[in-house]
Amino acid sequence: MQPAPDSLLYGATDDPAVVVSHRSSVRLAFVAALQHLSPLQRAVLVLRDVLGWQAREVAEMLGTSTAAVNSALQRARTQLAETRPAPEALDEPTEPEVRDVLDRYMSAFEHADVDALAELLRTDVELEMPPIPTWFIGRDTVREFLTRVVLHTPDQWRLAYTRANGAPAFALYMRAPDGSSGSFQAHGLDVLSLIGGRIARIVAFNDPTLVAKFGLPETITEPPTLSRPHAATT
Amino acid sequence: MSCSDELSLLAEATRYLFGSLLLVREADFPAPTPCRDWDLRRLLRHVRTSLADLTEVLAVSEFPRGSDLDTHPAVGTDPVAALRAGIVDFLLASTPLPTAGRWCRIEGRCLPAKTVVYVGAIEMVLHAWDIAQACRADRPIPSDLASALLGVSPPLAEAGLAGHVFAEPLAAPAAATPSDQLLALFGRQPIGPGLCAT
Repeated sequence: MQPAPDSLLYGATDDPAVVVSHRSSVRLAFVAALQHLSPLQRAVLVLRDVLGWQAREVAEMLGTSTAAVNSALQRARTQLAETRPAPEALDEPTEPEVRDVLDRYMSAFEHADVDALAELLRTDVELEMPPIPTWFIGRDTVREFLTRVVLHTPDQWRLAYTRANGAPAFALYMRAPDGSSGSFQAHGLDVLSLIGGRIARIVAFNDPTLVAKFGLPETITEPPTLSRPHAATT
Repeated sequence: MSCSDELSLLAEATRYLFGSLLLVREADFPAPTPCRDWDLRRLLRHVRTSLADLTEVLAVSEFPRGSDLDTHPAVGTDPVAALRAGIVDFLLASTPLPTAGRWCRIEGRCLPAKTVVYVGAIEMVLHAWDIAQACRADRPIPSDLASALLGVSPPLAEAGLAGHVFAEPLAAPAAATPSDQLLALFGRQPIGPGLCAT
């Protein structure tokens, strides 16, 4: 599934009633997607992620093992990923929480601060990079990949906040090869799913042409103005 | 434990019902229940069907009929597995969608969706108690859960569900616990007299 700007999906509006209605639509799609899961996967997903039970209790209630519960949850999330949107519909953090996570994500990215970024991730976070069939599952694995490949040098990235598929997202800009001019070129789009105030999934679309589809410039010479609260603390 | 909102109420109701289901052994299926003329197997099917009906009432057209589960290979003919799956479907219909401002038709009446969720929670909790009784276990309804359900019962009574969807009220014993009060309100007595309708 390709990311689409929320404004295309929903029309541009800040009307709270309309926004709530759109959230319902997103959730309906999510509920429909759940129907493709097995009864065990669905039960585990609902009991763990909606009702917030511990894996051990779910295992006891369903007469199975904790390992089986964890495995079913993993498979359920993987399967749902093909029919996003999106796990965040299960548990929407309050807006200030989301905002805080997004601000810190942006800052960590721009400063190549992998420690700060790792703090925002759930231990079972997933990083996906369509169309490349590459997945990283688990905070340590994701962290290692980001350290090695993405965030090895500070001040290489600029991020601009947007929304895609009903979820928070960032347009990513990479410092231009002649970066001394302070020019950053569109690189792609990261779509995030949050559960319980932490990032549960990052879907990284490394396609520069997507950025323009979101109404954002292909090149920037100044950092995006929105939310760069830690820019002076390098 | 707190049952201060719909989700936590449903979570506790589910916990209580799943707990009762842990007691059920195949040998118990023919056992009598507090519900007159119903053995445990029939009661499990009833709860399954009842939750499926509420699920359908709550759900939108994208949602499949609960009866699909009866033929799901992973559920088969095990009434406990079928009921667990039915509970999950009911939770899915109840929780991801905000209930504010939604209306549903049930039993020919137009009710707020929130009320339907409460009906489901009461259905789950009362029958969880019935199931435990059939398995010869005394499992009083946890006080917070019973109190919360007592708190939401007046709208149901106003909607005419007591004595219709549920059994006629009985007099609660003196110094009754919240569990006793709720059981009496919905016509429950321990196995023996067997007065409850559904």
